[in-house]
Amino acid sequence: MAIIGLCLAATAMAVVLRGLRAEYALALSLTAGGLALVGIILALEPVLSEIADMTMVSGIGPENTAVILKVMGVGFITQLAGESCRDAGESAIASKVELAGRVSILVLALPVFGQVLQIVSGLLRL
Amino acid sequence: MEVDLIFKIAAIGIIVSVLNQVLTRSGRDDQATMTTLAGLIVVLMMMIYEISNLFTTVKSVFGL
Repeated sequence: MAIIGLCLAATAMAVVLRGLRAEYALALSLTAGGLALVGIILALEPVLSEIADMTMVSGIGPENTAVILKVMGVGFITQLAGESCRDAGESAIASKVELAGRVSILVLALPVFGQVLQIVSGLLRL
Repeated sequence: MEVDLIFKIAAIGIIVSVLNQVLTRSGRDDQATMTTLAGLIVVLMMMIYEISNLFTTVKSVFGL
C-alpha cells in the first residue's frame, strides 16, 4: 500500500516538474521507480525462498533454480531501465537496453538449454 | 525515508525553476544556468544513491 502511495505521489510530482523543468521529471521518475522496485523486491523475498525450497523437493537441480532467480532479477532491472528511458522520450536507447537484457538472459539460460538437449538426445537413443 | 525523498527532489526542482525565472528576469542569465546545473547535480546525486541501493538489493536477493 505504501508503494502505491509512493508511486502516485511521484507521478503527481513528475507531472508538475515536467511542466517546469523536464530533466527533474526524469530524475524523479527514475528515483521513484527504483524505490518502488526495492520495496517490491523486499516484499518478494520470502516468496522466493519458499519457491527455492519447493523446487528442491521437486528434483529440479539447485543450479536451475539459481538460473530462474537470476533471470527474474535481470528482467526486473531491464524493464525498469527500458521504461524509464522510454518515459524520457529516448525510445532508441530503451530498445537497446531491452536488447541487452534479452542477451544477458540468453547467456544465463544457455546451460539449461544444454541439459534439455542432453535429456532429449538420451530419450531418442532409447 | 521513501516518500520524503520524492518530495525533496520535487522541491529542489520547483525551487530551482523559480530561481531560474527570477535570475533570468533580473538579467543574470549565466547565474540562472549555473543554479539549474547545481540543482540538477544535487538531484542526480540523490538518484544515483537510490539506484545503487536498488542494485545491491537485487544482487543480494537474486544472487546475481
